[in-house]
Amino acid sequence: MKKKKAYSTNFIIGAVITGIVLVMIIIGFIHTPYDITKMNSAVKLAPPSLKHLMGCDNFGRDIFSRVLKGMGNTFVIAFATVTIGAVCGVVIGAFTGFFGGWLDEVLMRINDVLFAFPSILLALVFVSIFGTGKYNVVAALGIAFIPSFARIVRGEFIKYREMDYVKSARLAGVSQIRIIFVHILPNTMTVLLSSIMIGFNNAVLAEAGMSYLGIGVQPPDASLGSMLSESQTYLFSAPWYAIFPGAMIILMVLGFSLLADGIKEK
Amino acid sequence: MENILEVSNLNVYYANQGSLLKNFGRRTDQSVQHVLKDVSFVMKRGEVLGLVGESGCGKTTLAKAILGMQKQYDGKIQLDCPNPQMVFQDPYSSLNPSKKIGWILEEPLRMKKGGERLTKEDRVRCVDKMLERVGLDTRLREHYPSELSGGQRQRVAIATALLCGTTFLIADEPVSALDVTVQAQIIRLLLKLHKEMDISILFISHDLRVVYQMCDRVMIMKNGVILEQGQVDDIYRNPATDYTRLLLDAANL
Repeated sequence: MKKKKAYSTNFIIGAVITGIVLVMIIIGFIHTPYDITKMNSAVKLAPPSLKHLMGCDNFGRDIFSRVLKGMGNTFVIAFATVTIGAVCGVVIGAFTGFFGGWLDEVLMRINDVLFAFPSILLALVFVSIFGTGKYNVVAALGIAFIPSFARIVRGEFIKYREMDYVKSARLAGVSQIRIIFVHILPNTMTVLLSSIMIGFNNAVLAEAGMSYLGIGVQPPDASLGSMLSESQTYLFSAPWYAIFPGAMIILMVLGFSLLADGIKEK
Repeated sequence: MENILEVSNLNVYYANQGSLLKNFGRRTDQSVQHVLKDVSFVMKRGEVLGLVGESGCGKTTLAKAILGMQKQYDGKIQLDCPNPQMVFQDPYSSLNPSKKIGWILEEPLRMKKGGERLTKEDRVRCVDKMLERVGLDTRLREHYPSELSGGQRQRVAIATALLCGTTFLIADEPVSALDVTVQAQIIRLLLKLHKEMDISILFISHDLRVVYQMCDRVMIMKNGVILEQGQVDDIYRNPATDYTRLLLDAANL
């Protein structure tokens, strides 16, 4: 099964979209056609043209440049969020699932409590205590994402810890830490990978949502969510201001969803 | 010591474990199950001892207790072998699906500490030797368990156990998941290894025919009690209990 890799259409389309998105993000980091903070009143709310591919916003800033930068910001925040959530979630889930007992009960009840709140709400509480800004949003969303990963990994570990190969590894004198990370963890990768993809999507949407509410990336820096929020006043006079950042959010989420589906199907 | 294993007055109880909250303040005697009742037997070094009984009679619990996987028990278990090993019933869950056969077989060798530590080349050499010994192609090292048949997997499981350098092996229904011809091959293999490497085997089975082929002595178990034990021939010819007679009739022996 491992050698013959027949990729599904979902996987291919997802990979292509994600590839395009990643290329745009990288370009955004290296070079943008215009300075994203430079205002030019001559081109206020100008429609898309060859000079400004996606038009200009209410300050005359180039939307294409801001979208490129904003995708980068959104991507970095989502990536960091998922990394925090996945790493902590895997460690917590692995230990609680493998050892069980009272630690498992206590951590999983805390998990349930965290799980009961929508992650955005949880992040809002966090931000209202520690203040707004990129890094606080990452920390807030990261913590809010831990329970979902912990739960998935815990379930997998409960399934695998009773398997005969784990017993025979124990009999062979393999240490418990090695059993957890070398013997069992690789077997959870398929499930973990697709939930990382889904988690990434949720993180993109959550970041967009938080920036939209004005507590994420702070102006004049750009993120897809903050651009959407700024654009709503001009939704009818300059629809391109809202359409392009929105389309980019859709593309990012769509690409990763399809990739996740493709991985699951394999 | 002449005996590799001495079990005396072994009693095992299972408490029906619930969650922390469910059991809170409720510890009744009803939730305790008496799984093994006063089990006593000895096993000589270099012997193949059969353990026969129906499902749920406590065979696997006994094996677990001997291997130290069942920590709570009353009675005495004296095992004169530092690293007892076990071959499991289900060949599909006894090998790690995400690792190659070579990796799985090397794992016990990696666990050796201090001066015994082997280099990669030494490990591969040991693994190849063992693969040949259990009748497998050394090229299987590069394959994943999903690419192997049930019989091949069981051979790999046996090889893994032997690579730990053990002299005591518990085979928990190692052939019940295999078809008849492969069963015979695995039994021949176990007997060959038993002779060549002087391994004592506790052979658990519900199949009296297989036990007849394999074992020197046999114990008949029911509901956690050993009903009778003795030489295979004696017991098969003169069963002392109705239950044994029933088993023999059912097996058409």
